[in-house]
Amino acid sequence: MPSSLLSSLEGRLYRAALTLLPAAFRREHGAEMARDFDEARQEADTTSAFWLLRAGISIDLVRTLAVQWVRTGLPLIAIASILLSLALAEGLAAIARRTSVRMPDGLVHEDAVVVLFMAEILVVLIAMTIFISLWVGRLMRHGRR
Amino acid sequence: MPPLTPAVVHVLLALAAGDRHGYAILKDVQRQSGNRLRFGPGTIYSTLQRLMESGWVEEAPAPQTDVDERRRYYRLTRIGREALREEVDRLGALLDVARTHRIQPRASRG
Repeated sequence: MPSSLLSSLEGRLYRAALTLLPAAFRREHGAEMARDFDEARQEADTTSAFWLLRAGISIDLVRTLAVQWVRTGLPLIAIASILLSLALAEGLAAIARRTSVRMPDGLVHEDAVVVLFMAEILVVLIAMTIFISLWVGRLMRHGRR
Repeated sequence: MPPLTPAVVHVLLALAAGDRHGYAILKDVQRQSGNRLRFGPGTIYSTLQRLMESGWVEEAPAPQTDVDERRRYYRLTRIGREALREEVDRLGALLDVARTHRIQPRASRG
């Protein structure tokens, strides 16, 4: 592959990876990071330097993604939301256990009904997690203003 | 004040020499550490972000010779310089303790 094509491809790949960063950080430093990547790539003049650069930039990017997302507080909110959702689901299940549900007579696929219930619970859990995460995230943003 | 991280110390040291853009800081850190530390752009800008939030670093106007709009320049504030001085004092005191235990820096041996 010609080096100019490879360089352009790597540049695009790096820019695409930058879109994974939290929006605020990307807006603030994304263009600078892309420019620095281009410049570092131009300066790497040997094959070993290219590989060193690729490895260094990849590790740096993964670390930056982790650091920046942790800084937003969203992973913590998501974990708290999942735990809250599970606690709510457990509470609802405890209530449901006390009530008896009569299956319709002649129902052949009881397993299918169980799977359907489980899928329903999963959807409710995911929806609750998203809802609580967004709600808490919004409250935090308002709190910062 | 707790000890500063290596990334913070190196970025502050690079800016102590004058206003720099991100890539110049990155190259300076490489030079300061004799190529032993190679921070990527993500580490440099994450560090700059924290330093700007702390008020230790601020954005500086770009020199007229630089026409690239994507370049942003940074400079050390007074409290940033003070924090760096404190860290250098701390490291100096640490070096004194090491010397009392006859642990000399390699460059000054023999």
